[in-house]
Amino acid sequence: MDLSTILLGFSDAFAPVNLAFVILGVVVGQFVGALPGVGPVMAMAVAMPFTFTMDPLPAIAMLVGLNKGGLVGGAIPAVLINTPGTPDAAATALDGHPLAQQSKPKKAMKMALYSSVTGDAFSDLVLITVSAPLALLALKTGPVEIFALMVLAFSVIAGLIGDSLAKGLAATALGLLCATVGLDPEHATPRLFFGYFELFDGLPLVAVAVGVLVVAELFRRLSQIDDATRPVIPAADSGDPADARVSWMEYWGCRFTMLRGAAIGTALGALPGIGSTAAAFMSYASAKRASSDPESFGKGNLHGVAATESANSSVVGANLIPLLTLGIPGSITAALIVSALMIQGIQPGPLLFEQQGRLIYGLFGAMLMANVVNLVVGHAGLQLWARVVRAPETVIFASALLLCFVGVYLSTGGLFGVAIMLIFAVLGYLMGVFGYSTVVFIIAFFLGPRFEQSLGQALVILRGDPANLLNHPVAIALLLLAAVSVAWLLGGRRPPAASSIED
Amino acid sequence: MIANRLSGVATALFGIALYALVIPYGTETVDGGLMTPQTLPNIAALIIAATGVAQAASPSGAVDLAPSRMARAALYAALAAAAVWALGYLDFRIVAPVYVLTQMLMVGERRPVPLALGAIALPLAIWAVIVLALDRPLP
Repeated sequence: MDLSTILLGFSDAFAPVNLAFVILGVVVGQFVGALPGVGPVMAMAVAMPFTFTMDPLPAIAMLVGLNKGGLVGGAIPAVLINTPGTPDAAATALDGHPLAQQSKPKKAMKMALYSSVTGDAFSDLVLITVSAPLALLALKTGPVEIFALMVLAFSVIAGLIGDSLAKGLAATALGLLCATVGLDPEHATPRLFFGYFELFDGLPLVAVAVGVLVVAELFRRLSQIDDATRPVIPAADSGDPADARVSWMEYWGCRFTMLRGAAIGTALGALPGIGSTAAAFMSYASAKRASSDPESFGKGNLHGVAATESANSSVVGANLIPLLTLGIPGSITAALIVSALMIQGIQPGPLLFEQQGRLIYGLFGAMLMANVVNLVVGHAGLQLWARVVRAPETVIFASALLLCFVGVYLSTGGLFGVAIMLIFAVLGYLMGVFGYSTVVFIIAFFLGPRFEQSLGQALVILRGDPANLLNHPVAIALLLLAAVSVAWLLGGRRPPAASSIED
Repeated sequence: MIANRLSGVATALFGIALYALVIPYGTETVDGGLMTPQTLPNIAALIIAATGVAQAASPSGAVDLAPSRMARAALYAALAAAAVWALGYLDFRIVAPVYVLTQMLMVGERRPVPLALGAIALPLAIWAVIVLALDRPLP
């Protein structure tokens, strides 16, 4: 790729319209992040159907802004009311809320903001540096290797997300099965459409994603509300200016903690299946181990906040590495970005850099801009977001449901899509009840068509004879790795905190 | 443990039903080619059946069965389904406020300001943005 494409891409990010959507994404992201129980994933899924009317760069930039803003906003209720706005912020509450109880809520929120932006920027720089060379490498792989790689990704994702390998594999298979609805790619015969001609093009991606991820969660949350008028009382400020700010010395004192957190988050984010919650807890544990005063952790130590926030935010950029280089979304937010790309008619994968180089570097520019916007908006909006924590969830959930209806109606062009959304909402709810990961399901559903295509191509290349795999050592290595990872996970050897990852 | 085991049995039966009944009924048989339209659906169905058997034999993972909460969730789903059905016959400006108001009342919201916000301001704002500002149709 030539330098001019890269520069043009970065300059696109500074175009007023793109910048406006980044700001919009960050503002809405911080807003929803500050609402306990909503979070950026729900906001991204609700916003996704609306992006089909937009140009690709502002659409993706807005979603990225939503995600980044949501992670920053998620720390606010964690600090103020000990209720994380997002699962990632659960570890932030360990030290953030004790700080708030010591009448230092602003200090805790500001430290969360600064360390979040620091970790995020670190991870973005790693993404920008490594993704293009990795994509070049990925381009050298053939369909057999791609098929083997997807088998490996499925086995890792199924094993690491959720708390049961059998349930993870079942969710993967169900996702793949749902992806086969519609015309078969090899013979163009309709499959599993049961007389509904609207299904010839397959199940609408947006309806399935919004149903499983958002509407199901809204039904779950609505069913858990016991007292709609329960007041929320956040911690009060001491009035001392020193307790309301983070000094340069305090920030600089946390530099190694933040760097360690960013490195952990980036490394885990680049691997499919391990999410930001695991990164936050691992970084917290690591910071506590490295501290000369480990007893102060859990009692309001700024390092605790810095460790968790730098780690969970640094997962965002790294999550895009497998997506942009291999077309494999390693997390639910990456899967939502994939669907937004697909709505725009763009196929994610290594060819993206060749065919959509300007867009990708525009996205990178937008990500860097989103960090700056996150810092500015986060700083300016701290007081406002602290009030948002008190917003009535009855109105929030009603708004989200109605927006899901409207968004899916607009993107699928009729009520059929909305009905599909509801069916998958019920399926998603039941999957949640019985412990089957909806995240694994949706990732398999997104990857299904590509998986089937790769399987078909691989069978042709191998002439239907598995013995011909011997001519593809990389594919053999990947399949062996998949088998080893399944055996490892069957043996119960799971990374810490992986069992609770649903992000 | 029992619920987990039963969910495994249900999953296994679902996989078998897919393989034996649904997929043969919902797909066409073709001649030639290394991949048939049934190949991937059958693989998926077999994996579902096998993992269901594994789950029934050795249950793992959490199950969060709470009948009262599930009944409430079913009510919200039924209300949403009724709203979608009604949207096929009536205007968004009629269905949306009634739907939101019913849902908020079901949750237990009784304060007038949140009720007015949810049932009047919200649907009106959505309608104004989509229909008037973006010039796109709503049901």
